[in-house]
Amino acid sequence: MSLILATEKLSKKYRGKYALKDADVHISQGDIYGLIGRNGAGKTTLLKLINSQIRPTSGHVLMKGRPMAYGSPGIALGALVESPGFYPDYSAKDNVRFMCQAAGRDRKGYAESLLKIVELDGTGSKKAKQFSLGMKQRLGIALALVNEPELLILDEPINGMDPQGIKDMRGLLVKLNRERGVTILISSHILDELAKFATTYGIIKDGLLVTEFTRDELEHRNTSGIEITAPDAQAVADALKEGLKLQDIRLLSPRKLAIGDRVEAWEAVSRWLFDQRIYVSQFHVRQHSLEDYFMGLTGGGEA
Amino acid sequence: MINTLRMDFRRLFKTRGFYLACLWALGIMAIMATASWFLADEFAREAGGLAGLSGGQMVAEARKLFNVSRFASFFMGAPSFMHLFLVVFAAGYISRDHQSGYFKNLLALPGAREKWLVGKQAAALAAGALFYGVVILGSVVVTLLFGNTPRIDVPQLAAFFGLHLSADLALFALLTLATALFQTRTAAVMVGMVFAFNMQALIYLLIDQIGFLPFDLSEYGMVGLAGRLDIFTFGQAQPDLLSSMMMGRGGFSNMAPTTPGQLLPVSLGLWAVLTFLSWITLRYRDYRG
Repeated sequence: MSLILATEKLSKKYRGKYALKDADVHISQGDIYGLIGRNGAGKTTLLKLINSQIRPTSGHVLMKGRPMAYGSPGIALGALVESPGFYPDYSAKDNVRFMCQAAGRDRKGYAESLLKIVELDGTGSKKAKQFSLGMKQRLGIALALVNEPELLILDEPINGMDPQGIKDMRGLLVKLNRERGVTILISSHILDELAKFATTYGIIKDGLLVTEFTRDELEHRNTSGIEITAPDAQAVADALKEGLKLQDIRLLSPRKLAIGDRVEAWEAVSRWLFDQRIYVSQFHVRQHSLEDYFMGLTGGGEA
Repeated sequence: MINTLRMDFRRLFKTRGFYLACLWALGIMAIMATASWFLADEFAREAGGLAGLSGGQMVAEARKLFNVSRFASFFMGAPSFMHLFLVVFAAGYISRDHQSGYFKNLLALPGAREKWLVGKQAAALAAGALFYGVVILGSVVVTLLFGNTPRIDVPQLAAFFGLHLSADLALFALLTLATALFQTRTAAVMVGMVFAFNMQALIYLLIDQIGFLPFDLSEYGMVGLAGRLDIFTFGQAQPDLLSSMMMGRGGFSNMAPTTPGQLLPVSLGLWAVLTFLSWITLRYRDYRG
């Protein structure tokens, strides 16, 4: 898949201190890219740089392989960075219609359709300043969608939302991604939620992009071992040591054994047991969560 | 650019503050018209003996002098009064995008900063023109209430208010600069008020008193120059006995009325410089919202 966005040694310095340093981000077309990092790690700085809210100290942003001129994204972009920006004294519809006009997309019914997507179509003339936190977030997303973005940038979009709102938001983002082909760059503190739908991840720590990996790579890297339940665990352990030359096998109980960390060939183990007609009642691949993986990489702390 | 202008104008016409400012202007015009009614009486008593007319005849004659142009120029004759009015509204309007964070949404669109700069100044200028239109409309009504036939001297009014708008345009550019620099409504309002209140005149006066420059800087103070514009120097020249009586003209009473040749270069020069500085600031100053 071709890259829709890449950065080259992108850096931003505030008062002599780097908020982001030499970041090389790679986002493929069609990705849902989850950006993870602790508070102050540089996530929002990166998103602001991509949205031309701030000027880089050095480095470049490339959109579809072409260097982005500051203030001219070169692709259809939508962004919700930090708190949603709206006119508090106007209704959701007015706010969206203003943006529709600015973007040259003021066709009949378009603003209403966007409000329907984020479920704000029933708010009528209620002023945006009277909205709940979740409603304000959804209004921010509607505004970000006005430009029919190829790339949608969302900074903590599910902050302040209730569980149902979070679920709906996930559904909306997945739908936008699958049905409209919108590439999404999203940062979130709620890693378990991010793990449910992001296809690629980037981890930022202290202004540095530590690593990037896909969902498949995460599953691969994150497999921590296998747990097998069998009537005679000891016999199974002996067979595996003999047949597959596995060494890191621990007996957890007479009926349960664990094969050590980083067992990457769990499919081979499963197949071998099947081929040898060794009966097991349970075969469980243990995986760490995205959060565990993040903690392992960054040394803990809040994401 | 057209899209941004459409958005800005749509928001302008949906801004309650704009209509309130117009209503406020009409309210003040009503107060001034009432005051003028009684001032005409006083004027008649003072001048009655000279003309050899009775008191009642003189009052009637004096009130006939109140026409559309005179009423329309009352506001503007009071130094900086209407500019202050307009600038306070425009400061809120122009800084709203930055203050509310809406500017972030616009930044996703190409050339957003330049479009913002042009759009905001254009919409504020249109607001100014409409505002003065309301003043003229109010003047027509008041002229009718005075029992006079409203005659609108279009070239005279256009020249007069056009010159005032040129000063407003420079003030709007100052507001875009203040907004780009400080990114808050409070800062834009404060900067606008300070300049529209003609604080600049005080600073210029101080510099002139020190004798730092080989010429008098006060002669180039934009709001001061605008305040000394006399509507009757455009088109129908006539003795302006009432203006000086009713408006007082404060510190400007001893100064000659401003000519277009004096005000336009100052206004447009300031507008050009301030707009350029606004653009540079928008391009190079990070948006904090």
